[in-house]
Amino acid sequence: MKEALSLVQRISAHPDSRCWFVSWSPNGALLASCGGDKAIRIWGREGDAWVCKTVLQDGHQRTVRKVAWSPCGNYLASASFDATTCIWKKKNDDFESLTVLEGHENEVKCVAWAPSGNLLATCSRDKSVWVWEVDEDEEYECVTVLNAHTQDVKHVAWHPKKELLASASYDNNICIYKEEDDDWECQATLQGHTSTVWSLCFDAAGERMASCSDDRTVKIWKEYPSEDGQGNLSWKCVCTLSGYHGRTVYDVAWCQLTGALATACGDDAVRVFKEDATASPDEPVFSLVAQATRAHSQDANCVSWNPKEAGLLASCSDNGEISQPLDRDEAVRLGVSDDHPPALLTFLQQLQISTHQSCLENGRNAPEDEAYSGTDLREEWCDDWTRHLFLSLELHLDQNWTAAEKIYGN
Amino acid sequence: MSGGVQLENANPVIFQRSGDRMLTASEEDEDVHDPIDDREIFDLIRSINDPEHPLSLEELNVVEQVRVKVDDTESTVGVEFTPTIPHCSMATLIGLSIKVKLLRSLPDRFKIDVHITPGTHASEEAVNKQLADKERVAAALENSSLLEVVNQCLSNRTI
Repeated sequence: MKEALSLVQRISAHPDSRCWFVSWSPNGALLASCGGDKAIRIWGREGDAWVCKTVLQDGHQRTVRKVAWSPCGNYLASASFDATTCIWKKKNDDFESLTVLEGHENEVKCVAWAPSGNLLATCSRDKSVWVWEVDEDEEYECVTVLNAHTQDVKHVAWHPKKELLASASYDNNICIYKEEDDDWECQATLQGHTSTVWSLCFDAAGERMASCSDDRTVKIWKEYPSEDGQGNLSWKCVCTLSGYHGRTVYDVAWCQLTGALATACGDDAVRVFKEDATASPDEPVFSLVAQATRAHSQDANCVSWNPKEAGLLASCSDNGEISQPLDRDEAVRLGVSDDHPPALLTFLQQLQISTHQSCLENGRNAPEDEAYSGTDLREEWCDDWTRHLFLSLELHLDQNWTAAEKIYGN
Repeated sequence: MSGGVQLENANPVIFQRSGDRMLTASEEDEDVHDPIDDREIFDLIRSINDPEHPLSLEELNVVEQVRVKVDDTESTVGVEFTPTIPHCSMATLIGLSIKVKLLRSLPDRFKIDVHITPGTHASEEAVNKQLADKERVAAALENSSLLEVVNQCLSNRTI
């Protein structure tokens, strides 16, 4: 019997900018959202409606990409494009900034807390994954920097039962890391996706992992004892869900209570898959049981299952909204809600266009951009947007720029 | 001293600008919904400035109307652009400028795909992948200097 997703509430969470991520607190009572407006918002239930309880405004200088709750629910970590990760401590209904973790060279794409609560993982466009340890004095220390990926790392997730870490990357691979003799190392590289892997998650038992990708598929991976006889485990892809998603699949979430799999897609839809109970565990079959094709009016970026309330799912979108469809045997009620915000300014128009005129004339660093230091400049831009960024800046300002200085050598 | 800056493509071929669009009676009628069509998208991108030369993308034949595909009912836009030379290092920047122009001008419902005309660039897969990654685009545009360069490309040059 096919189930239905019906809309519980739609909230305009981050007005005029996109909402990148939502995360439920471990007790299911609070929802944290973060977005392009550099803020984190905490939402709680008041009667039947979800209201904003707190806004954490000044923690970051750029987009906040992801937030993660500690397993005890007392701390919140936020990963930002400003290359830092902020740790917030909960004090009654408010949060205060405890510490800021620095080290990544550029945008931090994800932060995740290990189930033990003592370890934290972050990953970045600088291609690395960092593991941090926290002690009883709330001091954070980086214990390792892992460079297994060759490109931007999009997501990290911890295994629910073991101290095992998985990461997803723009290089189309998934890496699995384990601590061996006090040293963290990459145990396995899972290839299979044909484009950027955006997200991944483990099932409740940790025996399987789901990954989603720009190649429009979701893959299910299962753990097997390795043939090398050394007690290591290997992961094999046992199922690929293709043909369901019209565009990039940005997020996948495995419900720890019901085993249902939810996806957020660039075609604006949220979909729910359930496993066929009769299929063999080595060849699982997942079927689409519910979809909200116009869950949002723009790309859906994230889906998150409430850890305590079965069937309650939160999703968020580029148009800054959070919506919460409820999985139930009811008629589907879809469509754009009446309180849909008027045409939003795109996030681009929000940005301050600062000319840094004096910086450009002297060829010196723009104050807010760490990336602009000395000879690292060219390497920084080389592999990204243009080899001759500064050359083009010089050309543009040519008319006014008489005493121009080449920023890098020939 | 800045003299002797080497341009990548010192002698580009320059193409003719197409004339202004002729309005039809149905387009002038206020009560009839005008679907967004290829020409409208082309009109948005044709005057984008090339980062290297004082010329527009249309004049350099980097963008052409035939390489614009719009589906108003599906809310999709596909733009193919042709770098002037196969090793053009400005390709990502040009693609980004086209993408930004369309993101700023079109309704939010549109899905915008900008990619290099197949076979015309040595790194077309890498460039296409980066342009398609909205997180990379978002992060790049939070960098004020890069944004400045993009805005320069999108500004109206008075000739």
